[in-house]
Amino acid sequence: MGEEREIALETVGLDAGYGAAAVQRDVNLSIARGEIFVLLGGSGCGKSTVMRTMVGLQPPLRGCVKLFGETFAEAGTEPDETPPLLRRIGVMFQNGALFGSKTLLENCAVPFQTLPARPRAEIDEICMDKLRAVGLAAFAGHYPSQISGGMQKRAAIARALVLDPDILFLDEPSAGLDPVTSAELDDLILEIRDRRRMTVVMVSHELASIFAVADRAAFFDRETHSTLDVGAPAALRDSSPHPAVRAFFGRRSAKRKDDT
Amino acid sequence: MKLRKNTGPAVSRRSALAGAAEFCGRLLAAAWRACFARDMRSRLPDFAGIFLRAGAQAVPVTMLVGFLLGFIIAYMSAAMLNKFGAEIYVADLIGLSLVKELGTIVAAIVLAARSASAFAAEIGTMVVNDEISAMRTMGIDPVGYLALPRIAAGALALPLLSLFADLAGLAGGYLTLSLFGYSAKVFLANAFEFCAAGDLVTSLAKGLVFGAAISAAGCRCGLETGRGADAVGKSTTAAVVTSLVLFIAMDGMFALLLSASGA
Repeated sequence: MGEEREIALETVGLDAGYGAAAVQRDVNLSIARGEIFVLLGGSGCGKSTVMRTMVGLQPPLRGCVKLFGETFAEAGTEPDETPPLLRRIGVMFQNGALFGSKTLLENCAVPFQTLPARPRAEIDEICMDKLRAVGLAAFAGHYPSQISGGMQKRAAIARALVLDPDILFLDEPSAGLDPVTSAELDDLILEIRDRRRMTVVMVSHELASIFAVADRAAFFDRETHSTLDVGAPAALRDSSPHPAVRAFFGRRSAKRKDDT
Repeated sequence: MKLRKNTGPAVSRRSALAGAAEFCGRLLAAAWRACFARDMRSRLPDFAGIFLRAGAQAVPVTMLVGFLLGFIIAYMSAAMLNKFGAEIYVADLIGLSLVKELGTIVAAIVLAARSASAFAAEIGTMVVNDEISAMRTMGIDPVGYLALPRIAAGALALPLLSLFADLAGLAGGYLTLSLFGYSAKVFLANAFEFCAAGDLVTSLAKGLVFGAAISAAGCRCGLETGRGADAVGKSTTAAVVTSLVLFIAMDGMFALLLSASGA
């Protein structure tokens, strides 16, 4: 990517947390357009909190988050008028966060509510396209409670994609899924990125998923509340100077050593 | 004590009172925007569903409570007044107390117990499931999208429920007086002897305000739901307690205002 890479997301001296307590301090990340970037670390290290701060759900305690060079404060966040910056992001939450009282098709149509009026048929067509892309066109009329957890996550991705965002945020997409469904979801994420050169920021601690999709990853440490290392997953595993990072990746490697 | 609650973008530590004021401000802003919304018709099914649950489905229990209250008050009063041969004044007492106060109070208690708790539980569950967060990332204001139709439905439902409570209470009162040999015609003539049309209008206006306040309390408690397994339960309890205290305090203020204005 070199010198000419376009920065999609940048955090500058970001402290993320609740109240006065920062769970991660001085996060400095620069994520390029078209990159799949994983926020990883042990449970409770604050990776989801960092992601919530990146999408504007949590105010930064210090520092800032820039999406395409703009912060949420600069872009404005007037309710009921989707700010242009929010239109450029799609978010999938850990459990899907689909609206239980709406069908999958209706769920996908929700983001259109704050946009200039469009004919219903046009909205339905766009939603069906996205559901087709995630393999759920046949379930458009189903309610979230009528489909499996993996399908709910795919439906949530379809909803996140409905406005054709430039950045897709995924909070633990593989959590709670069987290995086959998880691998299918990884393929879907790669396909989405490749089709539109979309940037994907993903929270995960599933090693198989990280190695399957990530271009780079940042490792957050729970003890020091800091970013220990940033790099390609293989580089982090093989040559990180931080024992905590190697230990995170090394669980399976250590076992293999024992086996031999 | 830290009062930090996670209610959305750019929320900092603030007092409960400031939080309530902020909620009211956001609500008024959402109501103002709704007046000029391009597509209010699409929200009608949501509103109709909420109104059906908060209003129509509450009619049986409201009438049951109203009937029993009317019967009990009339029976207790008639037992005393009968000693002086004045049991017919029970009809005046029932008519006046129901229309002026009790009908609205019965309906308000039912709305707080049934609907404010339900609103808090519904919205609280959405908070726990990240559905509210999802809305915010889509640029949708949860106050306008979820709270406003519920508050409008509650405000409309309560005056109608109070009318049903009035009717059922009168029926309960008549049942008592019928035991003393009075006809329905005599009962009704006496029941409305001291009631003016203004009393009914005031009662309905109070119902409108109480309905909005009770529903708003339920919605706000839902939106303030924290994290964890017991959070929704706590919100539901808080919704019922807050809405009951709120409408009784407001009723007291109404009484003072109406008394001062000579109504």
